[in-house]
Amino acid sequence: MENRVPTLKVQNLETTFFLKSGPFRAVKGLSYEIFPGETLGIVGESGCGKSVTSLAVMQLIDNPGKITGGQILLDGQDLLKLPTAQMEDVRGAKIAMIFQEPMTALNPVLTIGQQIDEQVLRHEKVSNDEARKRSIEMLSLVGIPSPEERYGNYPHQLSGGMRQRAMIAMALSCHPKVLIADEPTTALDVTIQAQILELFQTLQKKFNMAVQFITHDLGVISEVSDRVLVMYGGQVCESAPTQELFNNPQHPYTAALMNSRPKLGQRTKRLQTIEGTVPAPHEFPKGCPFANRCPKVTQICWDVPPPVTQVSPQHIVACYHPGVQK
Amino acid sequence: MNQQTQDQQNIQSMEQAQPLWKMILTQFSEHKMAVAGVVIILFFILMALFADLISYASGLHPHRQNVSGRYLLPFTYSEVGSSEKETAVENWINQNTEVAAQLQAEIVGKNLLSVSEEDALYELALMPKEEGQEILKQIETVPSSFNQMLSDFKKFHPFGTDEVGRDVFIRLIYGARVSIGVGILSTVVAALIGLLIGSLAGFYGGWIDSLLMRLTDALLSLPLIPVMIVIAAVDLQKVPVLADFVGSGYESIIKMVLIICLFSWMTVARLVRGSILSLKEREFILAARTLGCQDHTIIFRHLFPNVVGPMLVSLTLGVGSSIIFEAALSFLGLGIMPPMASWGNMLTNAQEVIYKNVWLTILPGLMILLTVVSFNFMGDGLQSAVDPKSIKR
Repeated sequence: MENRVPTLKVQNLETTFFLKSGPFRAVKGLSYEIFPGETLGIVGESGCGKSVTSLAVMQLIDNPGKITGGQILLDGQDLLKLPTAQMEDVRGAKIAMIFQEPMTALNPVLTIGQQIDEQVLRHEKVSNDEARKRSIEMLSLVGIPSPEERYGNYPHQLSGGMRQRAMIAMALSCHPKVLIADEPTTALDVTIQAQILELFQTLQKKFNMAVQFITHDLGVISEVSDRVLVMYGGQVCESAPTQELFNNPQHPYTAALMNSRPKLGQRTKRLQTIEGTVPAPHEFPKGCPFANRCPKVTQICWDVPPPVTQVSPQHIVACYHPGVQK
Repeated sequence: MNQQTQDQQNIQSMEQAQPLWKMILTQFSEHKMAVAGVVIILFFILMALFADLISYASGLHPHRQNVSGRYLLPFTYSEVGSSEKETAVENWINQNTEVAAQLQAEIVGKNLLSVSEEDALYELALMPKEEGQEILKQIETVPSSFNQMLSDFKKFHPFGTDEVGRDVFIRLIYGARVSIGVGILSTVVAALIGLLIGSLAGFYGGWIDSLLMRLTDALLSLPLIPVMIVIAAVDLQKVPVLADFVGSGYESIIKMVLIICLFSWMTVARLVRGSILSLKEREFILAARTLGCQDHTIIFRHLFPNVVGPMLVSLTLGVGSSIIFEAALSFLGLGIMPPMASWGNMLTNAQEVIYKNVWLTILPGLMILLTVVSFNFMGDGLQSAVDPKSIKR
């Protein structure tokens, strides 16, 4: 494991939104890496910086947001140093992205085929016929029946699952090295969800892609990812291989997340929740961002951000009081 | 075929993917008034396109004046004056000397007319049409050009004639050419300008947006008619660059198009800017970016097709108002210059005789009304057809 080279390596990434009320750091010194063929799940509640992180990797953070620090290395090359035109070539060809709601992520007035073609033609020197062939091939690869016919369909003519498959076909049409999936199954019903996840795993193996899988569904995470990164308030709380994280959560936030899941076969009147709410952008505690909601909070948590400590070779946690709460 | 198999077939045909334009067409055809509008517009456009052919077939000419046939009622005949007849015969004889001599000899030889050979043809032309035809029947071969000339002397005017004896029917047809032509051309050009300015402003935002939109606001706040009158007074032949493009015969048409464009692109620009502002926040634009699309691809390939629907609607409605603009300016004597016919300048002359010769006012007015209403219905139909919410799947 140690001698492998990570496909995507993010180091000390920092993104800041320059709001009228003052700058707000949405991501504060985030570091992670994804190896070829590996899936990194990123979990966290709304507003914790998951989506900002993936847009930062794409360098598509709109005004007033900016990447204010860190490095994003793709195969050792720092993407942040690339000129805009070269970055445009990277997007779609080397890093692709899939969105939550395929209906809004596909252009309603272009056919599925046109949209995939465009993608292929944009990044590769192929003729229109070849692009069409490739598109149909991709459509059948993602399990769309009678791809020749679907090629000429508009997004609204397909079902939700089909649309997401088409979206995946589009993202993968240039065989990217990194795929960022931003809650790709949230808008789908459970059976379709399972099919799409399975498809993900098959395609990942086939193309040996590094996948960054963003979700707030722990069930989905346990299904697809090799390692999990738990985020809160723009920072890493805990990162560990999936099995280990689920069996042995160290950070109080992770533990609380695990506890607030409904458990199969148990009848409980109410689900457990995490006390309190996420603070407003400018009201995060100076120290640990979770301090105001943490059951184990002490004075130092309020004042000094916790250091990242190693629990086991691949398991890190940022907390003064790691360990399972009894 | 029983009901079940029919249902099955219906289901099968529904399951097959329908192209977008087909769905829009189906939706559009449900709007009966819009379909009627399209039929009327198509009829007028065909009429305008084949104006020359109609003129040739009917023998009516839009500019030919006839002093002895002024203010004729609809469904009447006109006869040209004797001096005009004589000049026409003289011209014909000069052009076809041999045939004329033969014809003259035959008429006098058979003793059909008791005049000298030189006067025979003049006499024939001046006598009432029926009598002339009687004489010509007894001649073996009458040259077709002579017959043509004789029939030109007497014209049927379905819509009567105007103050200088020009046929109203053919002038309405030629007027359609000018009015609809100017309407469509100026709307299309205005739409292109509006599309460009609106999309630049909407897509880039910031100071570009402010600059372009303030320009739009400024133009919108100008009092239209006075400014138009001033611009209409400009002699294009004296404008340095434009003069090269302006043919002498079409100057007033080109000026019309330019003026109408200048004052009608703003609504399109605002519409386009508005839709692009909302479209660019949509996720598929972000998705296109993540797939490496550059600005121009996003504008032309992803934004434009989404704007085309609402734009098409405003374009159709715009043609109607352009036609009214043109009519208004021509009515004021600032638009299309006589003798070229346009529905607007036909009204100008008619206003003086509005009580005496009502049809001269009603006919061009009716044409304008029909066309504008048709375009508006068509726009209305398009609006409901391209609105995705109204498409029944």
